[in-house]
Amino acid sequence: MSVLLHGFVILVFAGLVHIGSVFLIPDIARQDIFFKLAQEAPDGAVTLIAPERIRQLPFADPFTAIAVCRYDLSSGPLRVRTSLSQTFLTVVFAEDRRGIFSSVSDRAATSGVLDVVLALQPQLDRIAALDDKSEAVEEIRIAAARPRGIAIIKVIVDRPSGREAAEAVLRGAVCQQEDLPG
Amino acid sequence: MGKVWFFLSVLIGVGIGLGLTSLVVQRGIAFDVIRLGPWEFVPRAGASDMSPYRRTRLFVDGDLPLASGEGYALTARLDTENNSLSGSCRYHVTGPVAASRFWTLTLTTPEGAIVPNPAERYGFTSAEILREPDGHFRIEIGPDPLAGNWLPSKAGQDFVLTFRFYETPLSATATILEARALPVLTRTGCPA
Repeated sequence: MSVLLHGFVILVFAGLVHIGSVFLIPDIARQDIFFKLAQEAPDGAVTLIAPERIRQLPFADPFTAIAVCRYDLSSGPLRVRTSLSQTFLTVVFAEDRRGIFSSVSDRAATSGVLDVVLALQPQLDRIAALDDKSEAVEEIRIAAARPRGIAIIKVIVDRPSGREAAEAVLRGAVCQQEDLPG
Repeated sequence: MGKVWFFLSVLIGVGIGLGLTSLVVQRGIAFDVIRLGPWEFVPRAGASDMSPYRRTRLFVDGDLPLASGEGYALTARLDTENNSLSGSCRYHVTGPVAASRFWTLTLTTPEGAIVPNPAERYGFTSAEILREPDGHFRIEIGPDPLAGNWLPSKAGQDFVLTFRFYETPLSATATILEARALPVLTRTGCPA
């Protein structure tokens, strides 16, 4: 076999193995934050992450208050509803092994409440079909590609004295499965 | 004999492929990192269409990136002369910085752990920082107490700085950052 052919075989296998392993790592790794947070949260209920725990997470922002809620959309859409903080509040949707797929900030809130519905596309189509066309839809609707994941609600704690108020907002947040209308 | 050589070539190829992946995973060689002075910026780190290399790093590091709707982060691991940021040295970070609703600056170990200190000071936020009358600020970093906005480092231990800008006109999906809107990191001295 010529040297050129050897080089070609080495190059092809090196490329294939490298690309394959890069894509495979997220599927076999158990270190991702979304997997860890999902382990700490019950289905359909908001769990506040303690500040000490946040500080233990690698590269976490210690100036945030975080609550998580695990969901399974196969039994119906998820509604996340929260009042606003005095700082900055976001709702982030993520899947373990895949990462963040959507986020909404408090800029999208109406009447001081951020109301988000996460649903699979067929569920969203059904909800939209039943909308009263004469009324504006005030909730934010987001399509999820897969049924299982976690919602992360984050509030910025801009000064130490603000942590209590930020956590109070998170404790008051609702994260629950809903039955499909109709 | 030909088969043996072919098998050997395959083995070498597999070894190189795995070695390259290991390099990316362990040493953080990411092909999608943009470096501006001391600051590293990863476009689309918190977006669903992030690069496979970024996804691999994310799942190995275990960090929580800012979602594209939240803002973006800048990380400094090296100074402008490519030296690791040393906890024994003194630095300062000066602003102004890019427009955002809030920003936070955090000092961690290279692995992302908070550096414990008696002052329980792990960073600063835009709301609590002491500013000059013209809005500029200066953060002093060093192992011993310094006047003004002092961010303690640990002598003998390298550190990493992470600036997070929440709700900015420029999100994590942006691919371009303006150099003059970046904070300035300067080493001011090291023990002889």
